[in-house]
Amino acid sequence: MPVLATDAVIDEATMKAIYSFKFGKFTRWPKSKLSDNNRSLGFCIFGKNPFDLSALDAIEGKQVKGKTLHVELFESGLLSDDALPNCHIMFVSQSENLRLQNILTTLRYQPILTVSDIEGFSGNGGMITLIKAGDQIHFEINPDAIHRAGLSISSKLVELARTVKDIDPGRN
Amino acid sequence: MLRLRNLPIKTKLMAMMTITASVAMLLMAIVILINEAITKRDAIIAELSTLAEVIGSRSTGSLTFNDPRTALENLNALSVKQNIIYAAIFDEHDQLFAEYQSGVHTKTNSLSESLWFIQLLQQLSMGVLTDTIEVSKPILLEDQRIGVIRIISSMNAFYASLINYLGWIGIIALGCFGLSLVVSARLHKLISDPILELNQATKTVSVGNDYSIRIPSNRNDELGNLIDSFNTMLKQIEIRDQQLADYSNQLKVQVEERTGELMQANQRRIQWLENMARFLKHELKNATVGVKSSLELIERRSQQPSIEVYISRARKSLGFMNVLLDSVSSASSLEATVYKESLHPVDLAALIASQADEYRAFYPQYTLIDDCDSEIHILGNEDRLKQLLDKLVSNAFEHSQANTPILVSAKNRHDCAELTVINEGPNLPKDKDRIFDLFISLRDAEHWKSDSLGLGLYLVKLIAESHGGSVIARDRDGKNGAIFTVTIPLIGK
Repeated sequence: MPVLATDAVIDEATMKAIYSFKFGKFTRWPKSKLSDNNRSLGFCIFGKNPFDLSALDAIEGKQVKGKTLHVELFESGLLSDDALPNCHIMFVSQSENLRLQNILTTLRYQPILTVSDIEGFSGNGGMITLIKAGDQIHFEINPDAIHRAGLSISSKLVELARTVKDIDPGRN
Repeated sequence: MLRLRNLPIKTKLMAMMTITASVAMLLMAIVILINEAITKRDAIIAELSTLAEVIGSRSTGSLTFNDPRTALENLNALSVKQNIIYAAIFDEHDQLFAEYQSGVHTKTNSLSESLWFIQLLQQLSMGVLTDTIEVSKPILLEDQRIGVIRIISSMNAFYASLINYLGWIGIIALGCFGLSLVVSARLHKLISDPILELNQATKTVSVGNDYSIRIPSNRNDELGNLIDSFNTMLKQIEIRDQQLADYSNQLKVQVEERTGELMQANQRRIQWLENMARFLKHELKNATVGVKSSLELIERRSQQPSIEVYISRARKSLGFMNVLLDSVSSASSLEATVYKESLHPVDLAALIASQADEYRAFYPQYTLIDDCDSEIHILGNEDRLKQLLDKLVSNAFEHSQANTPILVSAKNRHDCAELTVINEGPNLPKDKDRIFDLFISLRDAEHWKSDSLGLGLYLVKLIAESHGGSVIARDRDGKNGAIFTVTIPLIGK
């Protein structure tokens, strides 16, 4: 179980935003998802935006997989089919806790890295869960969910995380 | 260098071959050692670089998500490499992120501290070889530098390996040295044997003068040529020696022949002189007797006073003829006998003193000064020496100026006795070298009176030479007068 020390200067929300975008550096998407035509890599925030402006500034425009990170907000709680191709990382906000199953079902086979700080997110089919423990942030990874979506995660990341499995595998 | 030069050629050749082989081996060993050191060092750097790359890559997650513990676990994997004494990961701000230190190194001192050889090697490498080697690699994530990994390795194993290598090189070099010694001990004979043979031959030739010696040679190289040339030289010397011996023998025979001829001629001359003297004496004696009796008859029977003058003149001529006859007779007999007379030890000083007393008694009108060393011992015939002194003194009386002293001195010189008779008076004639010749009359010489026959000084020369000596005459230095000097070897000189 890795122990991640949070930066005293950076607040929790910003740290979560930064971690979420850095997960992208250790993630491999299918080639079709990273087409050359699209020079941006979508960081989609689903639900009520938990990050303030400084947190978003910290990640907006960063380079991931040779592409420029672009933040997109889906605060309406609706995921249009047109929007999904542009999302590579999906941060599911705490506000979507009640609709989590639906959302994860929708995204189940989508090559989108799902990240959330909702408790039990990974156990319910989410890929990475951020867990705050004191002044540190841990994370859990559900490798099955990652593989199911056609993604792969670097072992360098896996060895830092706690791996979890689907709570209800029958649903899958 | 001089000591080396005096070593035997065999030793020099062996030393040359062995030293050449050893130097070559040493150079080769040095080159191999340097190459080995560089290769090993490069290999260590390459290995450390690989380790740094691997661990750095493994630690990208740790750095990204600020997990130094996992990074430390990665670094701890280096503990299997005992030569790695320190490793650390620094974040993108060069702050220490995770650190590993080997416990082994703290217990083990650096080899360079205990081995001078390593210290020397390090100094010679001018900083390339050190106690430790450090490799730093940036840790990249998607081409972005997120940290640095630094690994420091001890070079002890490297130096231990070099020492081990050097040991093997030393053993092999010793083996090669021994081998080269054995090989050179056989190979040197190719060069040294003919030279030693040549040396032995030259010694034999120089000691025994045996030029008939020849050195067998079946070689076609420079040494073979040298031996052939030496043999040819010996042959030429032998031929020349033979020719010289022949010439010498011929010369000896010729000299003997010529000496015999000369002796015969001299004998004939002496014989002729004796015969002539005897003939002259006999015949002229008869003639003078006849003339003398005739003159007496004429004197008795003729009463004319004018005849007395002619008779007196004829008698005077007869007297001169008698003197002439006696002189020729004594000269010829002296020449015939003087060299045959035996010589005995004589004290010349005593002889001169005795004679001087007689001269003063018989010739009181002359002043004679004798100045001799106390003893002068020579081998001589006392009568002949007296005769010699008589002639020189009478010659001096005859040519001395009135009222001037005559000096007779005898001195011991380095290896001879020097008898000198000095008189004041006219100088010697210009052709004074001839005054000692037989029958040379210097009657016509200006201011120089003569015994008219030239016999006195000839006898002086004859007696001096029969005593192994000589006589010379010269004018007095800057004054009028003559100096006659006779030198005769001292006894034992």
